[in-house]
Amino acid sequence: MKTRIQELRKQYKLSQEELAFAVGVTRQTITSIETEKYTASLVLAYRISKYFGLTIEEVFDFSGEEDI
Amino acid sequence: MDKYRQSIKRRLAAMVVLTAAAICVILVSYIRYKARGINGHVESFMIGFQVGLFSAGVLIAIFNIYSCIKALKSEVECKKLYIKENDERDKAIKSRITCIAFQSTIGVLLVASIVMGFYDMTVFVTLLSVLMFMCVMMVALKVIFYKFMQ
Repeated sequence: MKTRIQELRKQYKLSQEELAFAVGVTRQTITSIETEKYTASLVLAYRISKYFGLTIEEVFDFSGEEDI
Repeated sequence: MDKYRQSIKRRLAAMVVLTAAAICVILVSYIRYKARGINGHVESFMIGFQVGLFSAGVLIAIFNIYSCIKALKSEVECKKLYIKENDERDKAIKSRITCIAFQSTIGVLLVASIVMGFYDMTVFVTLLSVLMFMCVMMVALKVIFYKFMQ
């Protein structure tokens, strides 16, 4: 799933390590989410979005997930 | 984080007790076999296995005790340990690995028991028993989890 995490991190001048520590996951998890190898759980998506002061839809791109 | 801190304290106490028990087992087995002597390679291998297993357990426990003490001393270290133990991607990977390993083992056991059926009855029955046990366990866990997640 596409996300704006990398873009937001750069905007806020945050390292993966700092973001990971703030939202309670490892750096590798943030890397995997950014490279679209892992899809964050609802709770983690909420934590990341809340950390940046945005909604989940503003951080995570659900456009490809709408059709079943 | 307070709940996690409490769980670390409980874990620490349990690990200290288990480490002491493991050291006792190592000492008892060493003294016992030293007094009785070792008969042959099989017994020597068995003693080596037991002592090796418990020694590895003690080493792992000591490392964990050190991690727990470190986590209890600092808030940052506590959060780091929490993240290390509760990372959702790690949990997802472990869960997937366990699932695939369990299913592959069932497959391998099935093939092995069919092949061994032509050669050795004892091995065939042993493999079949393990296979049956694993299948029963899988069904039981399935029932429990389906009920638990309703």
